[in-house]
Amino acid sequence: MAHYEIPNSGLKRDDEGKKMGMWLFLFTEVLLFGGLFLVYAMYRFQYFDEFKIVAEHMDITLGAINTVILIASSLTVAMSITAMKKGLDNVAVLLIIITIFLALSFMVNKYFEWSNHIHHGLFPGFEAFNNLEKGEGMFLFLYYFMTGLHGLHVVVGAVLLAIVIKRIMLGRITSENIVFQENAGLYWHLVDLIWIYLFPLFYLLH
Amino acid sequence: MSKHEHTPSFKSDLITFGLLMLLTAITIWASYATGGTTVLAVLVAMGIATVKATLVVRNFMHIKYDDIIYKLFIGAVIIIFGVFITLLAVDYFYR
Repeated sequence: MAHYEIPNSGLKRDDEGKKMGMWLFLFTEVLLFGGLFLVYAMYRFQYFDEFKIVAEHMDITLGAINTVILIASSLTVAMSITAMKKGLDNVAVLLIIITIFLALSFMVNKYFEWSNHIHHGLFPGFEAFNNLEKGEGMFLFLYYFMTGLHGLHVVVGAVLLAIVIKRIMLGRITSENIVFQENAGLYWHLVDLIWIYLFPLFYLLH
Repeated sequence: MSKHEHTPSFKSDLITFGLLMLLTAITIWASYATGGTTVLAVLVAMGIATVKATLVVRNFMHIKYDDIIYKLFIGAVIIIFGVFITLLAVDYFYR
């Protein structure tokens, strides 16, 4: 691999360094969400019954559909990297376009889900929300904060993937120089990883 | 130096996807079968989520092809989080 041949090789790239930098960044993301998971665990203990009451009203079907969408998008990203390594540039671009489409579908689902809650006044500041028990409000607050932060990551991931398409078109990502696409893929898989835990915590434990 | 080289294949990507879908179906079924908020339900849900996370990290994020240093990093992150959540539980129950 190129990164072992950097001295005197004429190559000005350090793929291994770029990959490790990406992983270190991903660990800071784990710390960010890890702290929120700890807050969730704490309040789940403290307001056990209240959490159960609100969780029963979550739409498992919508949550499950979004889970399938994100897992499918992880597949298309992984396959786009496989395709690029095989030199199938057009297939890779097509797979990334499908991924971005899946990301948009995820956000559309989230929009319908949130607007349904907000329509019932279940958002911080509304009267119905203020009349809830403290623990019930805490569940919804954590739900908005954690799925909202996750949704922000979905948007950022989609933008990164759009940049990958542009770079493939410009020939700046090739089967021999693929580290940017792999790093964007790592970010996308992290988004999927976080949802893998959010789904049971907010939808299934009811 | 070719220890990082591996033959990428669509087949292994698709197998991982199939397993993830299967586990998603199992975790939804299990949430009804275990009654939602029992201790068993929490353990099963988090256990299945961790198996899914392992599949994603190992097969999709290609950790199985990576240097040992990445595996050690991930191990350290898991241990740190484990320590945090243990301390939280101790603090909550014995405060």
